[in-house]
Order: sequence, then C-alpha cells, then structure tokens
Amino acid sequence: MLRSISLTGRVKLGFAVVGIALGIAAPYIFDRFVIGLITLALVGGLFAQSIDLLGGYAGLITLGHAGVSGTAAYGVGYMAAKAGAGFPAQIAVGFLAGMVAALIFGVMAMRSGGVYFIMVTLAQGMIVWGLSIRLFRITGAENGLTGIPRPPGVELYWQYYYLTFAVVVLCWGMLGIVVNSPFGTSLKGLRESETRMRMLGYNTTGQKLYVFLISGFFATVSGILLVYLNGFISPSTVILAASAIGVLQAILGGIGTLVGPMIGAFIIVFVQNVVSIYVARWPTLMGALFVVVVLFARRGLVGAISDGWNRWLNRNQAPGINEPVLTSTNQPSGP
Amino acid sequence: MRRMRFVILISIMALVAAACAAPDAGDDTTTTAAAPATTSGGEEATATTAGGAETTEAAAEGCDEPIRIGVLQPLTGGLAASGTDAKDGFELYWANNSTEIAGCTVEFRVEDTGGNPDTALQKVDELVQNYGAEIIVGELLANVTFALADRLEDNEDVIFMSPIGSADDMTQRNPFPNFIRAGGWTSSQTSHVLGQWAYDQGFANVASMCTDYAFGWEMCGGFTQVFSEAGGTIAPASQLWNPLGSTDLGTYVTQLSGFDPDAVFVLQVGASVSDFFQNWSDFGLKEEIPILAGEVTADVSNIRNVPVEQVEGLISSGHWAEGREAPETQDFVELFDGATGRLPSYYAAATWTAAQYIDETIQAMNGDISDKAAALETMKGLELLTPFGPSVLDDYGNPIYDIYIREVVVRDDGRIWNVVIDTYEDVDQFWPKTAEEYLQQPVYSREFQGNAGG
Repeated sequence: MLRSISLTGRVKLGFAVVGIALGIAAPYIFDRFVIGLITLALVGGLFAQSIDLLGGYAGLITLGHAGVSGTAAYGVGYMAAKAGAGFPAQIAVGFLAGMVAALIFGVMAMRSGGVYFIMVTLAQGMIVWGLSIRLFRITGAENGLTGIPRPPGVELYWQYYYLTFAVVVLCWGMLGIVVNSPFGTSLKGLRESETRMRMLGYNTTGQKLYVFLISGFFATVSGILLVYLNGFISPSTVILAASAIGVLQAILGGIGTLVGPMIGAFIIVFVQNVVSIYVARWPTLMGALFVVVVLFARRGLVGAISDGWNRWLNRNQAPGINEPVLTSTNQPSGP
Repeated sequence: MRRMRFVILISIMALVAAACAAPDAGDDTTTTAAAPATTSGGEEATATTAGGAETTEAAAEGCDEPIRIGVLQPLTGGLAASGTDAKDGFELYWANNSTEIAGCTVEFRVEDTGGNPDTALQKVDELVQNYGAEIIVGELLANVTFALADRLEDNEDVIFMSPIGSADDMTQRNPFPNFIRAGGWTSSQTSHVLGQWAYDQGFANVASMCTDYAFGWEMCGGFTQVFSEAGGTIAPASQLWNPLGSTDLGTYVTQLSGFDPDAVFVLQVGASVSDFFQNWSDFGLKEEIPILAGEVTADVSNIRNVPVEQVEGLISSGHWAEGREAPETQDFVELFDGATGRLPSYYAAATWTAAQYIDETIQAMNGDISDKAAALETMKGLELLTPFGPSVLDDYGNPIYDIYIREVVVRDDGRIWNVVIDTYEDVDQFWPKTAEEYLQQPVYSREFQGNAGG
C-alpha cells in the first residue's frame, strides 16, 4: 500500500507520524515550562493556519483576524468571569461570538480584494480592539478579565496540553480536507485570477464569505483554546500586533502550506519566550530572521525546504527543466 | 507576490511602530538592558564578604537555598524606557545593600515581558518552577499585572509584589490573597488629594482631559469625585477623553479652552504627554489656564524631553517627588543619577522600595520566609522610611503615604524635576473616605466619575 504513494508523500507521512508521536510523548520528555510554550505555539499555529487559509490559499490577506479569535475569547471570558455561567454555556457563547464576528467581518469584506481587503480587515480588527478597551462592563477594559478556570478534566497543564494537541491535530486534518477539496482548488483559482473565476461562472463574492467563515471557525477555536490556556483575556490579545504576528508566522513558515504557519508559530513563540531569556535584543533577532527569510526563502522555510527536496529528487535531470516552475511562482507545495 | 510584500511591509511597520513608541526615546536607557539573565552573578560575590562576619552566627538557622526573586518588566517594546527604569532601580538597591541577609543569600533574575500578558505568563511559570522564585516583583501594565496575579493566586509558595501596576481594584474590590503592593500605589490615591487641593486653592470650575482607558478613568475619577464632593464643579460635558496613543491633541485643546475653566486636570501617558504640552503652548494657553496634572503625566520620565518652558511651573500630585528635600529621597536620587545619568522616575523609586521591603521582611523573619502568609503579615507590619517618605501598608496591602503637591522647577544643572510645595500626610487609597464607605461605590470608569453626572 505504501508503494502506491510517491516518495515525497512517504516522507510527509513519516514526518506526520513522527510529529504525532513526539506530540504524545512530549509531556514525558519536557518540563512544565516547555510544555506551556508548546501549548501556546500550537494555539498560535492554529490561528496562523486560519489566516493562511485566507491569505495563502485564497489570496485574501487579513490583518484583523485577532478580532475574530479575540471576540470568541472575550465571549468565553465574559460568561466565566462576569456572568458566572457553566462551561457548556461559556464555550457555546464564545463559539457563537467568534462566528458572528466572522460573519460580520466576512460580509463587510467579501466585495473587496487585494490591498482593499487588507485595509477592511485591518479596520475591523481595530474596531474590536477599540471596543475591548471601551466596553468595560463586558471586557473589563484595560484590566482584562481574570478568573477563567479551565473545564474539569483538563485543569492540569499536561491535561490541557493533550486537549490542545488533539484539537489542533483534528483541525489540521479538517483544514487538509478543505484545501484539497474542489472548493480548496477553487480558492487557489480565486487567488490566481478572480476575474477569470467569475468568468467561469463562480460566485466569487459568495466564495469569499464562505472561506472567511471557515477560517473564522478555526480562529474561533484557537481563541477559545487561548483563553482557557491563559485563564485571562485583555486587549493585548486583539491588538493589531496580534493579527500581524499571525500573518508573519504564516509567511515565516511558508504561506500556502498548512505546516508552514505551525512551524512559524513555534519559531516565534520560542524566540519570544526562550531566546529573550538569554538575548536582550531578541526583537532585533526576530526582525533579522524575517528579513533573511523574505530575501532568501520567499516561500518561507517550508517553501525553501520543499524546493531543496525537489531539486534533490530531480538531481539527475538536466538543470533548468523544473527550476522555473518551482521557484518563480508562489505555487503552494501542499499541506 | 507584490501583495504579499506589501503585507510583510505593513506588518513589520506595525511592529516597528509599536517598538518605537517609547515614552522617551533615550538610547541610554536601552543600552543598560543587556543580558537580563546574568544580572545576579557578579554583585553578589562581592557583597557576600561585606556581611560575612555577622552572618556566620545566624547561618546555623539560615538557609540552605538562596532566596530567589523574579522580576518581570517590559524591557523591549513601547514601554521599554519605563521598564528599564524599574529594572535599574531594583538592581541599584542590591548593588548598594548586602544580599546576605540573616544568613541567607538573596538572588534575583530580571525577565523581559515585552508588555505582553502571554509572554509574561510563560515567563512567570519559568521563574517560579525552574528558577525557584519565592517572590515575584511584577509588571508595569495593569492587564499584565492582573494576568500575573490571577496565575499566582493559587500558589501559596509565592508572594506577588506590584510596585508599579496601580489598577485600583487589585487592592479594593478584586483582591488576591498573596498580592501586596509594597512600594506601589493605586491610581486614584494621588489624584484624590489633588482634587481637595484644587478646591482649597479656590478653583471652582474645572475641566478635564484624560486618556480613554482604565488608568485614565481612575486617575480622572479620583480628582473629579473629591473635587466635586468638596464643592467644586466639573461637568460631565467638560470631561474630554482622548484615545490611548493619540498624538494630535490640537482639537481637544481648543475644545478645553472653549469651556473657559478655572483650571484643567490632565492625564496623558507616553508620547501624548509631549504632544499635549506642545499644543497647550502653541495655542497660548499656558499663561491663561493652569494645568493640574496626574502623577504620571508630570513624571520625570515623561517630561524629560519636553522643552523646559512648556512645563516649568506645572502643578501635579504624586506619591513620588524626586525634588523632595528629605535625605532618604535625595540619597536615592544621587545614587540613581550617578549610576545612570538620569533623574529617577517613580518607576525606579518603586522597585527600589519593593527591594527595601523584601530586605526588611527577610531581616524581620530572620531569613525564614517559607511561611508566605506570615511573611505577608510581617511585610504589612513594617514601618519604613523609603525614598517616597514614610511608608506603612493598610489591611489591603496598599501603602499609606504622604502625598505631595508638586511643582516642576529647573535645577541648577538645567534639568527639570518635581519639588514639593504642599504635603498631605498619611493618605491611604480611600482618602478622604473610610474603606467601608468607599468600597460601596463602583470602580471609576467613564460612566462613574463621582461628579453630578455619575
């Protein structure tokens, strides 16, 4: 059965198996601090993947997605800290809040594209941030909302890690199905040429709303995971920089792939939390990293690795046959 | 591809903008932030010999393990300058006082939060679990302080001290059991006093202009409530709220002059401070309408780079006055000035005082602070003479200080600082009310300012 899969496919499968095995073994290998960081990176990676579904696959780059995940997180936080509701109600309200935000954002943005789409989503994110520091009865303003305990059964850090890991793997699989479906292919069409898609009879406006809602679903899940991880929510979670970090994570790892945003999230979380212990000027380091990636690996780290892999596969062929196809477009390399 | 580059550019610009928005963009402040992880090493080795002789006796009942303190401050990002002041104040204390106390060695580690609660929560886990910190001295921002207090709440082996984060409710309506504000303050504590002082000066009709977020609401509310309950007028319509981070305050300034007030209460933070004073002078209002500033707006860290003529004579209230003549203040000011070349802001004085509280607590408990509840009680029982002046803590863990009415004057060396022109002694966070009376009202917000409209 394995023989029917290509060599590249087998390597990918290998990485997936190793990744899942490592993920399951992690709490036995690492201490609590590292597990906390991995949990944070998984949540951030899911958020970056939701951005990448819009940006990398559909070509709709958003700078306001923290508004969606943050609204979901505030929904949970409000129900827990202010309304004192039970966990089912917290999660239901958080989920609903995130999806309603995604719907409103999507309807507002679906008729635009390109730079205008970026500007519309930027404004949406700023509105959510503005509301978060003004509606103090709901959001606790700058002080944020404290006292958001985790649901029973996942209170301990390693329990919560396993929950996060399972949810992220599940979401990753769902995202894989979405991008490999005919709908996913039509998204790539949307990215390459919206006018041609419209000419072919696609309702591109509806398509955009649809993909925004799907992306919003995953952002919502990541927002709910984040608020229970921290037990806390404040305007810092919905600030522009939070959305921008998500986009940068996707670009750093490799936009248009699903593994890329996750890798980007791990790099950024570890630079921010571990490297900063030893290097005072860690933001400079992070900036330099971005510059290097943008200059020398324009499809991100995953793109560079897959280019190198394809070159190695084709090493016996005359140079130049595959080169232009592989390097001159921003063709995604699959999940 | 071009679109992607545009996004990268925008994103990087957003991050750069966030990183550059330091309240005072002094290069000298950031260069001292090198290698936060290694700060503890050298100083202690030398300090050990100083206290060596007297500590040998106590060593029998002293510690096997050093007492470890974790310090969390924003050393990068928009608040780096203030966070660095806080870090310098804490380090300066231990550079000038023995880290050998009652047979125990005190060690500390400073970590950068970047002003981000997510990072702060990860770092505090690291400090408590891996480094073994028993005392956490924490952050500058209200939201990060709340996040840390919430995380540490269930940990009975840790004391959380917040000498800077001043959100009212942390020692009022939303207290945390192991949280103590030694060296700190509540936002409205100092502006309560200014409200009374303004009324006593004969100002009858005052307008206000404050930054539109929790800290601004609390500072403004403190002034507004005491001033209006004393008999002054501050109409809700003449209370202006500008968004956090605004840098063109011209329209607000013209609106203020339109109210024709006797004085204006102003609370601005960060880059908005210099913009406000620039506009206020440009519109020729400096000689027309007196300004009463909230503590942070007149803090030396915010007015350092404002042209002298724009702020000379500025009146404010505060628990910190670097120009206060008492030796306990001036000794610290000279020490800090000598070490860093800057006059100390309240951030520096606050962490120095927190270190002083830690030192005295360990001494009082003879080195054994393993019982954290007892350590908290001991700390609350201390009566110290700090750079702020005499300091005791109330039952809620918030200091009772002398609050000063301050005026900005030019020193002989051409720099500006705040000198004391009036002192209100022993002011607690509820002043002039009692705790029971005060806690019945909600926390200050845009909707509740304690005036007629509230």
